[in-house]
Amino acid sequence: MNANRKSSPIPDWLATLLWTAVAFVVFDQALDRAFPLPADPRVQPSLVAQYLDGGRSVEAKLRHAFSSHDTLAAPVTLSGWVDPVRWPADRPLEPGRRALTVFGPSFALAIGDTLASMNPTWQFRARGGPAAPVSHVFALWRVDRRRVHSDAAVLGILASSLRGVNAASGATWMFESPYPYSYPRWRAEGDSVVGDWPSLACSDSMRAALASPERWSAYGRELARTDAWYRPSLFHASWLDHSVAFRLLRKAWAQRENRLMTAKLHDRHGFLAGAEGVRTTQALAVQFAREVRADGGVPVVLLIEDRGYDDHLERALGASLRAAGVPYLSTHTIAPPGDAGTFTADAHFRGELNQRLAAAVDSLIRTQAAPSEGIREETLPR
Amino acid sequence: MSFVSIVFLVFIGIFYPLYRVLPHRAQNYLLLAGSLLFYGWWDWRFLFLLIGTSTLDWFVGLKLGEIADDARRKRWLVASLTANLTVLGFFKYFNFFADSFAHVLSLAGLHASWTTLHIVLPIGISFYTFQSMSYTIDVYRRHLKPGKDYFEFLTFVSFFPQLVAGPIERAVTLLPRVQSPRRVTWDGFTRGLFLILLGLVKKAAISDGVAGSVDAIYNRAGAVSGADVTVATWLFAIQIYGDFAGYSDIARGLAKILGFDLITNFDQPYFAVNPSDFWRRWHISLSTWLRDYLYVPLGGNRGSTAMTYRNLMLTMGLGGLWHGAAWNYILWGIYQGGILCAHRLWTGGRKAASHAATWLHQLRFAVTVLLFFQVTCYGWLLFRARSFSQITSYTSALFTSPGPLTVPLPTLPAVVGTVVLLALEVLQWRARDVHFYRAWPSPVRGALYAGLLLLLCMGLGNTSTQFIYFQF
Repeated sequence: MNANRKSSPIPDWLATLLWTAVAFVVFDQALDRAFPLPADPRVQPSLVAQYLDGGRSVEAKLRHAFSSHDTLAAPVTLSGWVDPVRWPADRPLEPGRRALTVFGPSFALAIGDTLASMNPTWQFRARGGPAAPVSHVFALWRVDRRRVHSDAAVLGILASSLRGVNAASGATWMFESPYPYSYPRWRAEGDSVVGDWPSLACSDSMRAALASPERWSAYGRELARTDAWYRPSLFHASWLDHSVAFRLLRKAWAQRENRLMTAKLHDRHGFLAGAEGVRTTQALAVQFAREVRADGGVPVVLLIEDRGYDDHLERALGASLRAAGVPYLSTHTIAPPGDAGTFTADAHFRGELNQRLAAAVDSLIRTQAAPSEGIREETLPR
Repeated sequence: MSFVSIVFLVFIGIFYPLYRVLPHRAQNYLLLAGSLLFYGWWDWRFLFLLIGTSTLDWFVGLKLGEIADDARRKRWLVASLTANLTVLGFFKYFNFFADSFAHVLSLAGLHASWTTLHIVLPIGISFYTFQSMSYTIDVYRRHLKPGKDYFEFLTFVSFFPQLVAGPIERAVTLLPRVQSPRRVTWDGFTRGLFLILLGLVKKAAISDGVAGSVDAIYNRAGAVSGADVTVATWLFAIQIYGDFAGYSDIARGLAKILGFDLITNFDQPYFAVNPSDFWRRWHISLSTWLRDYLYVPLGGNRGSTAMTYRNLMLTMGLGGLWHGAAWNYILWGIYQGGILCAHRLWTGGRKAASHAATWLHQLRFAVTVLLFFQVTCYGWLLFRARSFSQITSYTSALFTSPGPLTVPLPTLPAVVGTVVLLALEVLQWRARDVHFYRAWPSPVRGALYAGLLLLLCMGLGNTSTQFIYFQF
């Protein structure tokens, strides 16, 4: 300690404390301004901006993504909604072709697309959303079956999205990159499943709610009632969103919540039998198959074991699906998640694996379909 | 409970104010209760082991103090060491040796059949066993008078800041601090806080931030390139340093705010220029323990050259085994022993010259540091590998398969944190003073603290992993 410091009227520790506080605020705000999100939500932010923004509240992220108008909004604001009001019009079924609808996340849609390209008998339709959990895609099925008949319907269940089954929106359980679409939280009741349909089921209603404090508060109350992942401190915007440090702390907190919630469903050995996510998924898969058959179609359940899940879905659901006579395919038999060569850089299955999975799905459909239905086999690659 | 957890934050928030207002004796009881709670939080059953071995060593210490006859004293010491090493051996090495024995028998065409015991490894058992053993050995050597107070002795063994991952303290230094009243100065308190902050940054921002990149290569099932192995091993060097030195800093910081001074466990190890230098800087409390209680009693360098090399190899091989019940740790120990012998052979046991001032010497020094870092890193490859086949395939990849580089980028806080840490270490090196930053004007110090706090905020967003050394 030098003489100047000793003679100062402010004790050294207090001066240091004050300077620490001042420097902290200066650094915090300098980072906030140096790495802002692009004003246009369609523009990809820099990696640093993305990192520092990860802990912004869900509400603030949604406001940014929706922007002032649909034409300026991020594409994600339009995907996955269960209200068909803005679904693109379906192409009429071409003569001689049969309708194959895949309900699921991008993994499942890629397999469906591959299948259609391999076997022209199928006219492929996709219904899903990014990282869509099964409760979301089951809701899409419920809406879609009233509109279009599917000769074959595939329900894609993604292992890493099983966590979202007891949520009611892609915005709550995927905190860092929230998807605004909403869906019912289903529960098994007797032989059927029931769910509370969300009040905001399309992008227009979400935009309107964001513009109305009352509707937004009401949506918060609804999520508190229906969504196990809803945390007001993570969801609602506040002035603290302007602080980089606070955002970083909120991100850490969200990750902790994520770990705690996930631990109730899954550990390193697999999914926990009896967990809500597992029970609901079993019920939804069985109900899906029952309803597809009732509509005269062929159901297939696709268990998508993505990175880190080995054969966990198979072990959690396989027995109950077999007992209920539900035809299913677990991807781990063809695309082992433990093998690094299974995945592309964006963590999806490689193209040749999609082809093998598509062939397996096709084969499964054919074995389920009555011979009179005449699904052509000869076009399949051997 | 882990230092990087909310539970610990609550624990220390309640514990510390109480500790500060209590008188010395009550402080010790609180320290003991807090330490047992801290340790029992993982698994309360582990407490029986900790208390059991500590009670035995305390009792043996008393006996050693009472008895004058050397032969009887030696028997008591052997009994204590045997008991400690049996407990350690059973919990840590039983399955390893049983499996290895079965493997050897199978090579001879024999089939051994027994049920593998599912033994849970008590956290930190190697650390507190060595600490407790050092007490009986020091009492036996009459370097220390036996502690009469059982609770004080138990507080010494279970002292929570360093209980599960060191530094391994000697009774000669720590026990007297438990026995006498402690004074926490403002200066000590602020130094302690800084150490805690620095340790948290090393662990949460740096070590946890590179862990994913390292795992992506070392947990990969398929082939890897030499570039992948090289970069992943460099990153592992950062990870293990951030993890272990981070823990040691937090432990020392916590001890400091409680009025204790613990040994400096890491002294800029990656600035080492040769293996001897490295072991004077890396895990100092273990290397000095091994030196004083194993290498020197074996004869050290007092015998023939061959005996010195044998002692070095034995000491480092056992040091490797101390880390864990796996052949790669033994191999790592043998590697360390081998390079120590090679260095001794090369230099004839002469110490390297210290810092030189000219730029040419500094350049030579920097190049030597960089080259020796690669030697250290090959040791880390042995340490981190999961199997012999991985060691051979990764070693082969280093020489036969140069590219491509597919290691995922470490997280942002890890990158920024490593740069900041390197800058701080260079400044410390140049100043030759651990507390170099305290001479800075308060605005600059404030900026340093604020920057580290922000880094910590960033680091808390990394996927948290358990401290690597907890498993030892």
